[in-house]
Amino acid sequence: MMSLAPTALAEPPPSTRARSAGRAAATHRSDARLRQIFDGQFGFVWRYLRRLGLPEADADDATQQAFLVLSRRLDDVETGKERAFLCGTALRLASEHRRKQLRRREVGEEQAGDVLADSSARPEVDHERKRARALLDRVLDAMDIELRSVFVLFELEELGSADIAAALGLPVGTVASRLRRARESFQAIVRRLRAAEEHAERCHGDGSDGGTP
Amino acid sequence: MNDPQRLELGGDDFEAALLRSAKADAPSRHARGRALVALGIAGGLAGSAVATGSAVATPAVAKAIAATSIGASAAAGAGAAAGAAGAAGATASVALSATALVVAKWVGIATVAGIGVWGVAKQVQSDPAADAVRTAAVTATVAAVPAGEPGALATQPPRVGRPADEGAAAAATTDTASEDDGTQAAPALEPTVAKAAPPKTDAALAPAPLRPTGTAVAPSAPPPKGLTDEIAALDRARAAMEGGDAEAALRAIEAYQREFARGTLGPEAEVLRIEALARGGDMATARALARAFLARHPSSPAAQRLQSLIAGGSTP
Repeated sequence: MMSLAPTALAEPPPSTRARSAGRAAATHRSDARLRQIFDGQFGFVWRYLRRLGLPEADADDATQQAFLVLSRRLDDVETGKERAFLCGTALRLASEHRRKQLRRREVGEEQAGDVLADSSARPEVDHERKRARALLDRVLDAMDIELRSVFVLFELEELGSADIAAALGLPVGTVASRLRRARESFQAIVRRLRAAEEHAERCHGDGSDGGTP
Repeated sequence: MNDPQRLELGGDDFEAALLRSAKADAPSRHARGRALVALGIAGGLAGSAVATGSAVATPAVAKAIAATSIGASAAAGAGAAAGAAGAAGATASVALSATALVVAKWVGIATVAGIGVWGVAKQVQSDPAADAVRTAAVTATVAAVPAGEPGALATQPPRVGRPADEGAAAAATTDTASEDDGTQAAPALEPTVAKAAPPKTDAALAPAPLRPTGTAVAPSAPPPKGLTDEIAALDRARAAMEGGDAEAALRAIEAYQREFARGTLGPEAEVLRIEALARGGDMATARALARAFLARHPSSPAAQRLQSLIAGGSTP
């Protein structure tokens, strides 16, 4: 595997030991802090990214990315502002991701309809949940990311508006108005999709698979 | 603040069902493990293995470890604590002996905490600690292996991992505070740390025989290699790199890639390898590997770093 035996690394410099001793204490402290933040926020950041539209695998990578960014900026991040920093980073990563996605698939608007057409098949509960989850992604995907970011923190993460304001660095009033618009948007999209569902049922539901009552 | 009612409660059934479907969103433990390794804060199981060896030196700790053989449940707590101590100390890789003491302390604490929670403390205290030190030599090594498993990452049922994990976090916090008195093992045995013991490892408690002989818990077969082992292997590489020994880091990564050919942490190992090569001065190979890596993993979290390495930046 390692066909290369780098000659340049021959001496493990023992002199660096002494030098790194002082640095190690600092590293040690920030490692401990980073680990503490990681343990407290990893799940939160992952879910946030997931709900901002990243598929699971991408959410894995992006969460890691968010913490890498945090680790590099750790000294600049005030204690207590870690989550806000992570939220901001996550939002930026999600926006980048979304831009890439949009470029990749200009088509594909009727996919939501496909998911709904499938759901008339009366599946298992878990299946049902997965389908609902996929559908939720479609609905959220149709929302503006500014609204979506507030919406998922409120409706799914169940943060209060004050916490959301702190996490996103917005005035509480802005959070309230975005949340209101987000809900209107969410409900409008859901209505549209349900209409599509009924249409799909009418077309596929009756008579298509030959007649047992 | 008068927040509006949440849609899941106030909306219609269909909306509620949609929103509920997201409740199960959760990262996999692999995602966690990969991120921990990428960040270099995996909390060296390698470190804890070293440390448990020398833990025998302190009598108080030896007693505590001997107790592990009585309450198998404590293993989980020890794992969490060892992980935490590793997180805080092992990566520094400098004062190894100091680290050993810190880890030893946490092993002791967690063991006692575990026993406290399970209420077997009395039996332990009434047992003579005469051959405790001798037993500890055996148990320490025995405990080190399975102790890692229920700790931060490798629990088979993902739920069970959580409490231990959070315990580790709690322990890590405390550790920072008590870092200066790292040499005093005994006075830290406080009940606050009892939280570190996972409350739901009934299975681990079941085979608790009340004989302080090392044979009581000795597992006949080593547990299958899991993510925890992968992390430990890469931690060794990272520790070597932080100690300035790029060659040893490369050896450790090679060992990892041999042992875990299809490991979960393959990409992280490759990134480490590229960084170790660069650190060691072999920029040509590092750049070539970085290019190949980016072709395979264009959206890797390490992409930016590797790109600047390719672009001719200095060592990452």
